[in-house]
Amino acid sequence: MAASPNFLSILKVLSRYEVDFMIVGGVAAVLEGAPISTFDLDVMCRRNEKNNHRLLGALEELNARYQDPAGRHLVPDAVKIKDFRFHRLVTDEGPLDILTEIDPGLKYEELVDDTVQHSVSGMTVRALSLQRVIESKKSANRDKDRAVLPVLQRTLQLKEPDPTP
Amino acid sequence: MKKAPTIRHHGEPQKPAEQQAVGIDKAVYETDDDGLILWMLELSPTRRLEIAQGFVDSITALKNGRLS
Repeated sequence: MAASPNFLSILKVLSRYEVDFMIVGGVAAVLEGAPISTFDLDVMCRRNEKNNHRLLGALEELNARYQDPAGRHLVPDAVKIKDFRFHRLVTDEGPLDILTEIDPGLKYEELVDDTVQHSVSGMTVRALSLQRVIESKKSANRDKDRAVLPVLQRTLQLKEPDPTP
Repeated sequence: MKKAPTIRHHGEPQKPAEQQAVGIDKAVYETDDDGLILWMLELSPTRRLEIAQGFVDSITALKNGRLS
């Protein structure tokens, strides 16, 4: 098991299985141009039967299992994918978190219009807009979220064209 | 009228290379992070992800004692 994530490898598998997903959190901010460091690959997936099936195929290829403090070997299945709200997984390509909502309680369908499509190594991936990442981190308000907010906000300022003539 | 660039970066008068890279309109250094942010914004998403991956790999190597 890889202790740290190989971002590209995981994204390639999700993409190959045509999973309808968006990258959220720190990696989304990086794709948007924020120079921050992150060890977490957080994704949200559209929740329907077809996409759940594709996701399961990708997770099987990645040899995904749940991070279980009790040490049990728990693997994702159709019921867990449908019912669990948060999947903290380890894979052969490193940790992967699959969320069904982000602060403040927003789901995939409510966020998909606030995403940006990026071309990464020949594939197109959808990532949450920097503005939305900032809002979610403000809402989550953990120490690690507050720590990166100044850089994220400054990145957004520098990305956006100056509205003054 | 276009606002004149303000350079405030630890008292350094200017950053010629970065100004050239991003264009003079963006050469407004108001925080210590601006040079790094502007550099990152010039990169492709693929390259940005590679840089994030490089950081992860470096820290992992340090944790595993592979670097001296």
